[in-house]
Amino acid sequence: MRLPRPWTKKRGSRLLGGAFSGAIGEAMFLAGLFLLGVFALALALFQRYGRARFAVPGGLPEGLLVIEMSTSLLGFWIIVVIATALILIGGVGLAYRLLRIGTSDERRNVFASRAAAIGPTGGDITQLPAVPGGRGATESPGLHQTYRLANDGTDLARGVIAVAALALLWNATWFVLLAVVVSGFLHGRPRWVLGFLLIPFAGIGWWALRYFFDALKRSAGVGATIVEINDHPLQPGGCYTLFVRQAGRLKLRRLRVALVCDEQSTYRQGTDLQVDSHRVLEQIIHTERDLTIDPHRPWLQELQFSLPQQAMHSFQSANNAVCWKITVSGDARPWPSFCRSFPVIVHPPVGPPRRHPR
Amino acid sequence: MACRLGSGGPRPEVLETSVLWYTEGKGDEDLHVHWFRRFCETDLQLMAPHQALRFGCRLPPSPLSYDGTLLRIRWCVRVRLFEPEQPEAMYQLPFQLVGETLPLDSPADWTASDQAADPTVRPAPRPGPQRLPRPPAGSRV
Repeated sequence: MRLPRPWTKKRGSRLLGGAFSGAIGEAMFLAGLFLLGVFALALALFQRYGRARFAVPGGLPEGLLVIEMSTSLLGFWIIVVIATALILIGGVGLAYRLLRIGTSDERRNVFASRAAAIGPTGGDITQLPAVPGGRGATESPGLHQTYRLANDGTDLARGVIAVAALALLWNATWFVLLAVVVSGFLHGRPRWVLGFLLIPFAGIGWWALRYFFDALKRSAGVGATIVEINDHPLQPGGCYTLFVRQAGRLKLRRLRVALVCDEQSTYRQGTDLQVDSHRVLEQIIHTERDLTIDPHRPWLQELQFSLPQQAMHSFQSANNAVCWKITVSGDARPWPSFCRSFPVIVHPPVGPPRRHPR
Repeated sequence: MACRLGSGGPRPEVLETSVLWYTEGKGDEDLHVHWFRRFCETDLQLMAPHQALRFGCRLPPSPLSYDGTLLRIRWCVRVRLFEPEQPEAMYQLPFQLVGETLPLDSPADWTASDQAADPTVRPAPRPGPQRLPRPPAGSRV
């Protein structure tokens, strides 16, 4: 018999002890929580109402009774809230645990699927099972091709906003502290410690401002990237036309447009949630070296590419995914390199009738 | 699909059949039951001792079977037996779901229903049904 070792790190969802003893232990723990909650609630109710009932006929002075009840009111409600939480956690957890004992995984999954189908999106049968909808990709018509693809959101602008917030808040605080120090000198009560602390704080503020301006230059220099495609969703073996427009004020060592397929897995390692990614396919659609882009002459290119015949379709489940995307990446000078992703959906060979906006 | 119960042991109280896919690999397992049917004791008592329990469903166009680096998608038929005073037993028959370019009459074609099995199914390379836990005496599928 293996003794449980609670101090060792639990890896993934593997069990250290037996499944049966684990279920019994969990049920006992939850039942203990439930009973503790009931006991605490009963004790609090009895202490409050039982004592009040006995105290009033006892003839205590009126002022003393009021003071005693008002000071214990907060404690009473704290105990009631904690006891109710214990009862709920223990009761619901125990019921869930007991339901799991007599039911197979498949039956529970069917119940969960039926419950999910009751919702407002349950009637959407045009959605392929386990294939992401990708509606956002077809909502925006393009100028040169049928659809304009949406960026996956890892835009530089977000980083700039975060850095700007840090720099401005830090420096605003620094100036407030500076005002306090100056007013101390003016009123003859100098604050030397605070004054000396302002020197390193100023260094941090200067670093934050420089970082902010660098990020701003990077964001402003690398202009908008527009990717349009003639058809969406994609099908394995299909040939597609891509229109790419890169704006900005850039000197690029290399600009690359690629079709990329990634596997993504989410797993638990102990108490941490880890995400791993593996690049299954990177098909270079276009590469161009040593090019200059200015705001009046954006880089425009119409490209053709075909999806491999045996390509896996896009897949999305709770912990795993197969993601397809078009990436536009550039080695910029003097700005750092950039890479922008435009997710696309690949359907399995059999698909629902397509919707065409034109 | 068909399963046959042996006559040597006690008749199970409940028999659950399901067609499902699950993931294997580095990520946590995902499982989705496409088709499920539960045969209670009264259903099983109506069957003759060697009568095969036949069932079928139309498979969806996705997710297709996949063998990747971090992720593998497996389809299987799973039969679970609940017998009196025995631990439950599970049998699993893997198969591959592959895509073919077939026109669809309507989008509702892939909803799970009791129909003949889809022709796009190919048997998995792994031979024979897998029996995962300890087998209860006298029952066989």
